[in-house]
Amino acid sequence: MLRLREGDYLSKSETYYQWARRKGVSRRDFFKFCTFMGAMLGLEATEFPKIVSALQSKPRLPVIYLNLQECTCCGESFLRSSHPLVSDLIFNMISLDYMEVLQAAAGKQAEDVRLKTMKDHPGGYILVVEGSATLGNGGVYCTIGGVSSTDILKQTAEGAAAVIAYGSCATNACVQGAHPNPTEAVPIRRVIKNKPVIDVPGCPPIAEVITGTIVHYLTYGEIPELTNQGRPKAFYEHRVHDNCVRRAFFDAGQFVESFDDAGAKQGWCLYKMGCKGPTTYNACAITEWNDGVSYPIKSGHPCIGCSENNFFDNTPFYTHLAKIPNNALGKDVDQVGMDVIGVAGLAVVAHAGMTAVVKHGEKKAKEGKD
Amino acid sequence: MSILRSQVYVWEFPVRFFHWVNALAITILFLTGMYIGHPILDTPGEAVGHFFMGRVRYWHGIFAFIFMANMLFRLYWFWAGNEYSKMRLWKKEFWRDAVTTFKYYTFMTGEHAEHVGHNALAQLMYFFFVWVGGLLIMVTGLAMRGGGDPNGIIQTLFGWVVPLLRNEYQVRNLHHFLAWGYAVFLIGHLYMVFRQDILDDDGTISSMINGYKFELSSHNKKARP
Ligand code: HEM
Ligand code: HEM
Ligand code: SF4
Ligand code: SF4
Repeated sequence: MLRLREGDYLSKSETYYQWARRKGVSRRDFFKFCTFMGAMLGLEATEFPKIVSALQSKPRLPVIYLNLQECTCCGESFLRSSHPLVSDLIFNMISLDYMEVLQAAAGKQAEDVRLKTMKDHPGGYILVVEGSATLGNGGVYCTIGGVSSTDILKQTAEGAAAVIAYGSCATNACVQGAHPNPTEAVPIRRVIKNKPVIDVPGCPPIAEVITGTIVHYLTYGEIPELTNQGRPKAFYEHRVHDNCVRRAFFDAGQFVESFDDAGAKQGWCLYKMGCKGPTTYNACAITEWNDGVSYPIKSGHPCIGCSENNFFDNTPFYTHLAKIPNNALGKDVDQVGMDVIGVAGLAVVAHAGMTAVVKHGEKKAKEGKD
Repeated sequence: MSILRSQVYVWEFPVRFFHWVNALAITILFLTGMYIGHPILDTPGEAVGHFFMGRVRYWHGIFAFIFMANMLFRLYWFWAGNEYSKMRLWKKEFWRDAVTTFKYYTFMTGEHAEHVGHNALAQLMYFFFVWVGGLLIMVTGLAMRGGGDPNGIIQTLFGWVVPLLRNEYQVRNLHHFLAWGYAVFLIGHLYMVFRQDILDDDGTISSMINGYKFELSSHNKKARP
C-alpha cells in the first residue's frame, strides 16, 4: 500500500537508490527492480545498467496525480499493481506528491501541496491524469473546490515535463463520452496541446505503464516511443488477439457458441461470443491482471475492447462487429448488406421486365408499320 | 434482314487478363472474408490437428495481394492501353454520354449511342464500386494487416488509418461493409452486360473473352430494328 507519511517523501536531492536503501530495500532487490523495468519496457539487456545508474544518480521525479471526471477504477488498478516488486517498491518510490484519493491531507492543505510541487519543480514533474476533461457549459459538470476540473488540469499541466493520460476516460472519454456525451467529455489530448501526452488506455489500464514511463523518462530524458495511437509501444503495440491464450482455437476454427456449451468448457475461442480481441491493442494477454493470475478472456469472457477509442459506442458487446452506424440504427453490417442486395435484385428484375415491355411495344409498332 | 457488322478489337489481352483475375480474386476474397466474419463450420477434436480458420485467413491474404497487384497493373494500363481502356471522367463528352445513357436506361429514349467501349454509366459503376470501393477496402485491409507487425513496412505506411477512423473496430466494420458493395456491383454488372448482349447482339459477353465486339456499320444504323 501507499503510505504518504512525512518520512516517505524524498528530499529534493535524494536519489531513488538512496531513498530505497533508507526504506530498507536491499541492493539486490533494487537491481531486480531495475531489470524488471528494463524487461517491461522491452529494452535490450545492455541498456539495463543505464537504468541502474539513472536511479542511483538522479534526484526523484515528483508526480502529481489528478482525478477529474472518472470513477476511480484506474486508481484501484494502480493500487493493486500486479508485480509484488512493483507494488512494494515503485509506487512508494515514484513518490506521489498529490493524489486526492490517497493523501491524508484535504482541502486547502492538499491544494497547497500541489501548488508547492508545481512551484518547486517547474518543468520537472510528471502529471498523471485520471478522468476526462469536460467542456460542456464551461466545464461545470466536474468541479473541484469550486474550480472547473478542466481549468485545474490546464493550470497543473503548465509546468509539467510530460502528461500521462491514465485510463480510457483520459484517453478517449470512455463511458461519459459515449453518445450523446451530455457533458462534452473530451480526452486530455484535446485540452493539453503543448506538452507530450502519453495515452495509457484501458478501463482500467495496466498500472506498470506509469512506472515504466517514469523510469524511461529518468533514464533517457524523454518519453518512451509511442504507437500510432499515442500509447507506449512497449505495452500497446500488439493486439490482444495476437497473444491470446485461446488463439490456437481461433486458428483451428473452434469457437464457443454459447457460454455454457462444451466448447466453453474446453476453453475454445470466444470470437463468436463477440470477442473484440482482434481489434484491441492492449497488453492484457501478456501481463495479465491481479498479480498475473488471469485476464478476462482466460477467465471465459470475451474482450470488450476497453482500451479502444469509443469502446462504449462499439456495441453490442456480444457481437463481433458493430451495428450500423454503431447502435443508432440497430442494424448489423450483414443485414444492411443483404437489404441493399435485395433492393438491387428487385431493381434488376423490374428493369428487365420494363425492358421486355418496351421492346415488345417497339416491335409491335414496327410490325404495324410493315 | 441482315445487318452489316464489322469486328472491332476492343479489349486487349491485358484488359481481359485484368478482368478475369479481378473477378476471381474478388470472388475468393468475398467468400473467404465472409467466412472470417462468420466461421460457421465446426471443427471437432483437438486444436493441434486443425488450422482451418488460419488457412482461410491465409488465402484471404494471398488473394488480397493478387487483387492489389492486379489493380495496380490496370492503373498502369489506363495509361498504356488502347482508346477503349481509358476512363476520362473529366471530359465533357463523358458526362454528355452519361446523360444519354441514363435516358436510355430509364426508357426516355429508345436508342442509345453505340458504345464500342464502355458506356459512361458502366464506367461510373466501375469507378465507384471497383476503384473507390477497392481503394478503401485495400487501405482498411492493409491497416488491419499492419497491426500484426508493429515495426513492419505496412504499419509504417498505413498506420494512419486506425487513428483516422478512431479505432480498428471501425476499420474492420467498414472493411466488412464495403465487401457487400462488390455483391451489389456484380448484380448490376451482370445484368447490364447480359442485357447489352441480348438487345444489341454486339457480342459484349464474349468480348471479355476474345476481345472483339461487333459494330454496326454507320449507314446501316438507321435501319436497325
Ligand atoms: C474485394 C476485396 C475484399 C473483400 C470482399 C474482403 C472481405 C473481407 C471480409 C468480409 C472480412 C471479414 C471482416 C469481419 O467480419 O471481421 C475481411 C477481413 C479481412 N480482410 Fe478483407 N476483403 C477484401 C480485400 C482485402 C484486402 C485488399 C486486404 C489487404 C491486405 C484485406 C485484408 C483483410 C484482413 C487483414 C482481414 C481481417 C482478417 C483477420 O485478421 O482475421 N482484405 N475481408
Ligand atoms: C466480381 C466479378 C466482376 C468484377 C469485379 C468485374 C469488373 C469489371 C470491370 C472493372 C470492368 C471494366 C474493365 C476494364 O475497363 O478494365 C468490367 C467489364 C466487363 N465485364 Fe466484368 N466483372 C466481374 C464479373 C464479370 C462476369 C462474370 C462477366 C461475364 C459474364 C463479366 C463481363 C464483363 C464484360 C462483358 C465487360 C465489358 C463491358 C463493357 O462494355 O463495359 N464481368 N468488369
Ligand atoms: S478469444 Fe478473442 S482474442 Fe482470443 S483468440 Fe479468440 S477472438 Fe482472439
Ligand atoms: S481483455 Fe479487452 S476488455 Fe478486458 S481488460 Fe483487456 S483490453 Fe480491456
